[in-house]
Amino acid sequence: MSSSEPRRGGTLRLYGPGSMDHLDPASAYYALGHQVIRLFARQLFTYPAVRDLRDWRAIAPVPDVAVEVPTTYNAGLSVNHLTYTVRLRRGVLWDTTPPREVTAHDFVRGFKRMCNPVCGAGAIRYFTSTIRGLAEFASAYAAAVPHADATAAELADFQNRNEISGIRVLDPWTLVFELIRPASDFVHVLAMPFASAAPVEYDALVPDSDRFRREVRSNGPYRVVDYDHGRFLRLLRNPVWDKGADDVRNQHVDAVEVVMERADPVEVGRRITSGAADLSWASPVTEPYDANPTDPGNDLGYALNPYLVFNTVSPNNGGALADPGVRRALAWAFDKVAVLDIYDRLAAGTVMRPARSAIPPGNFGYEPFDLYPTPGDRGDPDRCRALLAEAGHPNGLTLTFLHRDVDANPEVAKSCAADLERAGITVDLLPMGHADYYAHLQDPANAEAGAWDLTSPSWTPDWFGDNGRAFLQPMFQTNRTRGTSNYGCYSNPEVDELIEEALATVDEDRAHRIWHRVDELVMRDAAIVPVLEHAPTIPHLKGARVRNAIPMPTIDRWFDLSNLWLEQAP
Amino acid sequence: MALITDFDSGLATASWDRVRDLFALDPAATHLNTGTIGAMPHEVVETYDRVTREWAGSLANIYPPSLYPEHRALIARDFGVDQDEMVICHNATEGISRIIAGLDLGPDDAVLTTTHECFSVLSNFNLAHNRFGVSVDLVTPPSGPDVTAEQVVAAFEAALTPRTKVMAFAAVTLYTGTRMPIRALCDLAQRHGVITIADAALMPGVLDVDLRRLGLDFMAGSGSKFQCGPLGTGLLYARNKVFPEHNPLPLPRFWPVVSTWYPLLGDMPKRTTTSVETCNLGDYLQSAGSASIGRAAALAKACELWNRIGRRRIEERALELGWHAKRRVVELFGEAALYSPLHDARLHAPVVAFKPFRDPEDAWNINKIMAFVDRLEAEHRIWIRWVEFPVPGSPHAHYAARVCTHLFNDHDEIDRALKVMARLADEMS
Repeated sequence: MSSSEPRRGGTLRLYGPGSMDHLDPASAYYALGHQVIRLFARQLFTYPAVRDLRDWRAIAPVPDVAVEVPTTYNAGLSVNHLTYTVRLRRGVLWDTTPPREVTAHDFVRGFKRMCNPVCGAGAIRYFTSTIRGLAEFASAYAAAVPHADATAAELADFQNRNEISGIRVLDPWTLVFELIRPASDFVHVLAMPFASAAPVEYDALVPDSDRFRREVRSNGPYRVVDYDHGRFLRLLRNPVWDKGADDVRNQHVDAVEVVMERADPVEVGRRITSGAADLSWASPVTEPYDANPTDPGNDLGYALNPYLVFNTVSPNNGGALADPGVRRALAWAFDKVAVLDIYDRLAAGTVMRPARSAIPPGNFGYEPFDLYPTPGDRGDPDRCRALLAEAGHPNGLTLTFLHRDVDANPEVAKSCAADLERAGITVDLLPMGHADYYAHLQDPANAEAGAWDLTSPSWTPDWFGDNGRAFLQPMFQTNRTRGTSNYGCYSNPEVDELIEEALATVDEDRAHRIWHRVDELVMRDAAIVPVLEHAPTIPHLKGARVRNAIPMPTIDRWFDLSNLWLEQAP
Repeated sequence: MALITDFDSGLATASWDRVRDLFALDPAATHLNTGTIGAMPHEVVETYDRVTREWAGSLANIYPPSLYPEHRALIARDFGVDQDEMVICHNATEGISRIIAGLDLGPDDAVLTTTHECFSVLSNFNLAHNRFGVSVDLVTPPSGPDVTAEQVVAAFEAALTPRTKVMAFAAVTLYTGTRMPIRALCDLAQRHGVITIADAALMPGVLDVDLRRLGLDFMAGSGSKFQCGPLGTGLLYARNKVFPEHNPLPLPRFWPVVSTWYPLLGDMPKRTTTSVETCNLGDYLQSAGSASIGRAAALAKACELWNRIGRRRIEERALELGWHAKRRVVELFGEAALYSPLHDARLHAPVVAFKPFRDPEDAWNINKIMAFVDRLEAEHRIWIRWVEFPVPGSPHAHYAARVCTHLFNDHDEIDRALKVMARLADEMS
């Protein structure tokens, strides 16, 4: 069989040190999770796999469970752009016994679940600031069920007794969303995996609990049959999935297996080239290249990878990190080129540069500026030390630097720690497994307890094009609820207000100016230190039998597993 | 008031049954959707066909006739204006597009219009916003049986700012069927030195108006809706003279953006500051390459036929039928069901929008209204349309059934159709 024709069969094997943050679509907010969720949880809209990143269709949502993208001209979008009528396609089935159709009620349940106070959506603000009544629903939910160890019955009781006023079910196949204000990116927001349908069976499950992970249901081409968090994942074909009801995905391989274990990129690469695995799971192992790659997406929105987050609510050092003056002092310290060299040695295969702003190039609202310029981006520890003294800490600080214990992360942490130590700061490195890292950051209780002071995550835009809010809203708008992506609990009322102002305007130029102003403010406050900006795709190494592996910018450059197939081993 | 020419005493006094026979209408169907598409009279179809055949294979020079000087002169008179101010275009959308694109609007200017305008108005203003930076200020006009002309004018007045350069409004709104108080709105605009544009898609052929007396600067109308000309015909009016008693403001700077005749060098002749024409702006606008001579001739025929029947008579008939329909709606569905004006007759148009279902929440249910309209058509051969629009203070998009009455309708079919609607709505409620 030719490699251009899909072959059915085989088990796709991924191997590496990564982990999903959550299996539950309501809370999963990490690219690896989204790569897997695409296989079993469907949204109203999603992104197609398009090989050429310069093709605008690669970043444009298409109907998934919806019949069509609502427009004024198909009567799906009201003239004032405040009402979206979304019609659902028939024949999308849950893998329940007996199989049952996915309905509008399942989507409403999904929207309610993303507000749950146990393990909610990391970018809940996308939704609460857009859909009428969702903020009120989320607040009431948090007030009614204030404890993080709520039972499934408590959660279901609230969800089933309360409605979101701006989401209405006209009939099982028609959903109406009423917005607070026009949002030209609303279809992108609905394409987030948070907005997946949720079957009634989830009323009996605590979000992302062990039991949820055992009983998670599928309406996609694969279903989870075995999940050991941070260790192993196996998906098999969903027998009730019908290609006739899914324009986006396929079901070429029989099974998908992910083995998650500590391994360095060399080991991951060795497994793939030897045929013991097909694809990397998290390790940046790239196809061999001779010349440095060019940007494959013509400046399609870059990612921040890594950036440093300060825990602004840390009680350590007498609460020093709450002081913007202290954070500003620290922001001068870092040698960004040293971190770039670490990635270069990994042969990451992508275009990367030192980053200076919260919004990196190619994203809406980006303007080049640098509030902390140092010669050659090498950092200025002396200036850091001096400013720290001015801020009342002449004897330095002691900071806990939390980092993932895999891939380049330990080296990056060491490099940053060395920079800080040159400025007279003591750094305690705190490694953490990939499986726990993001979940740890998403719980503000850990930040409040001072479990960490500084950490180095990465951030890729949730969508491209009209994405002004895709960095600033989840990363910087006040959000101290479980599941938050504002890991350092940064809060500035002026920033919050400007974000709302940017969202409130339909004037693109004005919105651009406001997003840039927010960028300037968060950089002035040194809420983060941008370290590197990365082009949105990377030539990941593929095993010899992998065909049609298409990297998706919306899942941080990882492959669309639902459309690739495996050639038979020679 | 428009001048009636070519008076035909036969049609001027003919019964409405006889008038109905002029139209190519299916006798088994009830056409209450003239706001979307009119019904062509047989004479109009024949003219279209005859003229098209005459020109098929013809080697004659098409350019002088495609300026339609005679047609424009006759049609202009129907609307109280002159040939140099009237253009036969392809539809109201094209007319509106050319008006908006032809105005000098920049980032310091604002346009005031309503959320109840047709897509073509809002989209073209948004285009101007994106292209030239002009601000677009929107008001949601009041609606319902109690709305008054004063309330409508007050809504505009409250939204005027020193930056407002243009006020644009429908002559008759396509959603709630509100006949806007054009003269009062033009008075308001003129007091503030503001240019006025009327989207009159639903005006030609039903309201007997004198554009000069109304005081408008621009109007774009449809030729194929209430005027019952062929599809692909429209009228564009651009004020080209100054009659201080109607509109004392100087003529606004205007660019004929689609024009073959615009000078290759230099400018158009200076436009007048008096009531005497100095520049035939209509010709500059009308000259746009080859044109459909058959369609223009058919539109002119429709206008001529209207004059024979009597434009005032047609208006009175259509409005009376519209009033009849409103009263029936009140009887069958209750006054609160009306989105159209009821008590202020100045706002009456032969367009009636109402919520057919008992449950208030059904007013926000697009599926129900779509099914209602589909079933009327499929099961009862009654043609209406549904409309969607915002209502002040409501977070919901409201969906209404819209009935249009015209000269070829009669009381019995309106009664019958509304009774069917009441039964169907009951069943669906």
